[in-house]
Formats: sequence, C-alpha cells, structure tokens
Amino acid sequence: MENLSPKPYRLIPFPKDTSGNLLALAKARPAGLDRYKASHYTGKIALQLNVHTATTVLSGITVLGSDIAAKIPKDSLVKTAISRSDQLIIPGSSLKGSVRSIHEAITRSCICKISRNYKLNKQQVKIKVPEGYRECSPQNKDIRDRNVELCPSCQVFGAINCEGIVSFSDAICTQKTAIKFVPSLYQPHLEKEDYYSNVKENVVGGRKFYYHFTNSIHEGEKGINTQLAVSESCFVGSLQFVNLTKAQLGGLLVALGQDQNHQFALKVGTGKPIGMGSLTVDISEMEIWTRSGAGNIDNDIVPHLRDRYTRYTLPESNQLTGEPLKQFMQQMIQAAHRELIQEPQLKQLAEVLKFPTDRAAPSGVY
Amino acid sequence: MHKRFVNHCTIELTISPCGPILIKSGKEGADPTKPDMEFVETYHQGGKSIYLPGSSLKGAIRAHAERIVRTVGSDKPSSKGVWANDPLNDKRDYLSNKSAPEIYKLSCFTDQMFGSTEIASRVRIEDAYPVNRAQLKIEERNGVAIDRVFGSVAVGPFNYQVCTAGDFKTKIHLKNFTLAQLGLIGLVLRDLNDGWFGLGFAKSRGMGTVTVQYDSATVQYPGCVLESGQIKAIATSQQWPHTMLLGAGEFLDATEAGNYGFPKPDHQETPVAAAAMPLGFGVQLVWTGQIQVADLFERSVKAWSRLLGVAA
Repeated sequence: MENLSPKPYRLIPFPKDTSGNLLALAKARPAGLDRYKASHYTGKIALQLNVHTATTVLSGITVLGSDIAAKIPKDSLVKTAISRSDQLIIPGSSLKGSVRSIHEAITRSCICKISRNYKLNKQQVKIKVPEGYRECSPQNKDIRDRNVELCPSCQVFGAINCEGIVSFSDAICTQKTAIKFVPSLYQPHLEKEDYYSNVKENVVGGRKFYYHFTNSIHEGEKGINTQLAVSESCFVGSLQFVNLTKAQLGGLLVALGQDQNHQFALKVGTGKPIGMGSLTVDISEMEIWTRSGAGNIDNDIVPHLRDRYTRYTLPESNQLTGEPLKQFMQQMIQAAHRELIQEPQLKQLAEVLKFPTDRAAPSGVY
Repeated sequence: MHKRFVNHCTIELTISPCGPILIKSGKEGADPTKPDMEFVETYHQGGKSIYLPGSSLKGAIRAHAERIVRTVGSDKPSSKGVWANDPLNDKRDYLSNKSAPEIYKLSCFTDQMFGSTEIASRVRIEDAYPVNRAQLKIEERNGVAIDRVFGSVAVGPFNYQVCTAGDFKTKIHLKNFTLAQLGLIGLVLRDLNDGWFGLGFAKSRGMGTVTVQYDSATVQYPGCVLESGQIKAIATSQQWPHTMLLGAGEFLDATEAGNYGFPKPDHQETPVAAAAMPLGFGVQLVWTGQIQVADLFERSVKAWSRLLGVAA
C-alpha cells in the first residue's frame, strides 16, 4: 500500500452557504427556442483545441494493425479513434459533456447523470444524491404548460424533454494521427468511502475531476496500441448558441477556461487518470447577434437580428475579433461572476484543472 | 385561396450533411447487427435507402420560419406587421364561423404558409432522396453518459447510425404565394445553410447541420400567356413586363386581394425573362444555379422587408 501514487482526481464539493448547508439549485425558466429573445445573445464561437497530452475519443472498434498502419506489427491489435476521412475527431457529444460537467460544478446545478447503485457482497447498494440535487427531468406536459424550471446547466445544455440552447460541432484534427501504447484502465470502485459525504446513508459528496499532468503514460504490462492525436496537434470546431443571457454566455466561457483569473484546460476522451486528454481552448473569433432590449448597451459592436432578417445577403465580415472580442468576453464573464458562478467551486476546480502543471502522471497503482 | 391557381414556385435543392445527421426511424429493427437507433429507410430507385422525410424537413423549416416571424414580429394577433402563433396549442377560436377569405386573413403568417387545422398549406416539401446511394457514408456512433461523481458510465453505451456524407435532392413547392412568403423561405434556407438550425437527432451535440445548394427555381403563372414580350392574364386584361416576378395579389382585383389580405401591388423586376410553358399554355420564369436562385431570394426578401416596414 505504501507504493500507491496519489489519486489522480479530486471531488469538487457541492455549493454550501456559510453555515455549511447545501445551497438550493438556482432554478429558472429555460429561454426556449421559439424566438430570438430581446437582450439575449445568439451566435457562433470558433474553437481551437490545442492538444497538450495524447488525446483520443475511441470508436469502440478494434482492428488489426495491418488494416491502418504499416509501422506497427501487422498482427497487433489497435483501438481506433472516431475519425472522418482519415482525420481524428472529437465528437460534439464528448466536447459538450466535458464542458457541461465543468459548468455543473461551478454553478448551482443538478447532478445530471449518476449510477443508481453498486454491488457489495452480492448486495445492491443504492447511491443517493443530496436532497434537492436530483436531475432536472421535466415532463412533456410541464414544458407545454410553460411552468417548468431548470437548473443553470440544464437551461443551457438541455434536459430530458427540453432541448439545449448550445450546440457543439465535431472538432476535427488538423494533423496526422499517431498510434501509441495505452495501458489498461480499470473501473472506479463505487463503494469507496471517499466518494460519499454521508457514508452511512451513501450520499455522494461532490463531482469528480481528474488533474492535468505534464505527461501521459504510454507503457505498462497490460494495454493496447491506440490511435490518438499527439501533443502539439490541434482540433478545430465550433459552438453555436441561441438566446443566452450575458451571465449564461459568460458562464459558458468560464467553463471553456477563458476567465483570465481562472484559466484551465479541458479533459476530454479516454485515459484521463494517466494524463491523457488535456486540451486548452483558444477563441479567436465570435459571430454574435442580439435583439435590443432594456439594458442592452453593446449594439455598437453587436449587430441586430432585425437586420439579419430583413436582408438576404449578410455583410461578409460579421465576426468579433481581437481587442473588441476580448472586452466583450470579459464583460460576459463579469456578469457570470455576479449572477451565476459559485466562487469557491470555481477556485477549487481551477486548481484541479490548472494548466500548465508540474504534476507528473501516476505511473503505477493509485 | 386554393380555388384558383395563380402562381406556383418550385425550388429544387440539394442537401448535404456537414457532419453526422440522423433522422431516427423510431423503431428498433430485429436485425441484431444494426445499431440501437436507425436512420429512416424507404425503397427508392429499386433499392432500400436512407432518406430525409419531407415531414422532418417541413417541421424544421416551419419551426425556424416561426422563430424568425416571432423575432421580428409578434406571437399575438396583430393587424400591424406579421405574427406567428403557437401552432400546437392555439385553439384558433378567432377563426370560428368565418368565411374562407377571413380565415386566411386572420390566420398568422406561418399558418397561412404552412397550414393549420383550419387551412391547407401552400408550402409542400418533398422527401429528399440520395442522388447516388453509393456515395452515402453511413457510420455508427456510440454514446455514453458519464457519471458525474464516479467518472464511470452512468447511462449506455448506446449506438446510433449516422450519415456523414452524400447528397440528397428535394423540391419545395409554393402555391399561390406572396413574394414575402417566398422571401421568408429564402431566409430560412439561408440560415439552414449557415448552420443556424439543424435536422434530426442530437442537434445540441453538433449533429444535423447541412449545406443547402440551390439547383433551380421555377415560377409559373398557369393562367397567363406570353404576348408581345408581356405576361398577359387570360381571364382578365391585366398584363405585366415579361421579366416580372408576381405575387398572388397581383392576379386578384383589389377587393378580392383585400378580402384575403394579399398585398397588392406585389411584384419585383428580375433579370430573368419569362418563357412559354410546355403545351403553349402558361408562362414560367426559371432561375438556374446557386447565384441566380440566391438573386431570386434577394428580390423576394425585399417584399418581406416592406411588410415589416423596413425600406427595401
């Protein structure tokens, strides 16, 4: 037991008030998609994902090495990554999941997905979530009656019966793929006491996030060759959004690691405990539209949707870039800090996801 | 107004996926080698093929048209400007015991175009079939929901079929249309091409985005003939220059147009010249290719803008 490496992850606890009581979810009506709302923002963000440690989202298909590469023994097996026309991709679903889990942790949001039970001594043990933190799952009827309220993450990313108002495209790798050995990984032990704030009642105590490491591990006794994108490569994708408030857009930018005071990298794909999947996000341009309303003061830089829908041909350059973009993002992030972000959670999470880091990946048992 | 046929527009277009798209069949087949969620399939050109159903296309196009109308107009009945109702919950009491022209006039802009329980649609969208089945790329994707506390799989894995490449051809028909209605269709198709809305399953995970390539647009005036470089209505003495794009209101007298609420005048000059339709009966204007069809929409959107009180 003395040779165990430190755990490669940490739980971010749920937000509490000064007395130590859990804060209630910050529920509100979702914006909806029936119109572009006044004083809300609609647009598209161009994302560049810079790969710092080997990154891959696996396709679930294992093939013979001879089928995809000549440089490895032809009879060796290779796990393939999701690709399109020989270019690796990070599916929009993986990227969205990664950003959503950060957003959930830094806002007063529900525990969206969790295992229901685990087996211990051949007995099923039920896992409980803290009171009031159950997943938002409105019924169809509620949506039609328009009386539904959702937590901040479900409002933005969607919930059962309620479509999200952000959409992540597949991100496509611009460089060649590589094949590296990836050691076998094992499933988490759900019975471990560390996961629970109330061990007796089996009430979970926080959300799990893996640290970033300086390197990723590509050796070990057991494992398999895997198709992946190596460090220094880059994925290009986009994020479309509809009807976000200033705070919601700012919250999304913070979850993408764009807050100057809390910069961090994302963890995407397989091999998170062994240092894989560290990506930083660069935003160099944003197309943004709004419909003016009370308190909207940025119409000099943000075009009006009425102009979009009274002409067929749009101006060629409608992108916010450079200093105006930086200032706009900063304005949104400040609004998010005022209305949405839980500062203690953000601080702790930024510490876990801090990048660059001097933490070395655990090479043995942890 | 469906009792008379005054003008008709057919837009031929090609839809191609930018990334994965899936229109789910809704049923899980018995074939164990197929994924949990399958693409809709039909028989086309002698074989089984995936396709984009007209109903899915119409639903997405209508929803975005409503979104635009509510954004620049209202969601409540309005005598000024345009409005779009909530088509699923509107009981349409304001249309009870009304005459046909009044029902059209009192219906919202999108019900007038796409139909309701009270009036038939004047927009018809055909199923989009693949141009070449061999060029379709059909893949399988997997999905899992990651447990937020333990990092393991909370839900799944589930797999689904997606189409990532190929061309699907379809046609959009507008019958007895106003130029503003054609303009709105143009704005919706522009936004579909720009990725502002998508088709099918998992749109918030980047699926469903497509490009739209205009192949041609044909506007026909079945009750007209071409005489001495003029488009001439057979039943009346009306006539227009042979390069004129004409909305439905142009073919009606002022009283009838007023009863239905059709704008009159409703015409735009175009660079395309009219020609006689086959069999020598009727007149048609044909726009060919991306640039020409975009020009048709550009001119129609001017009529749409005028309706909103914006100078074209």
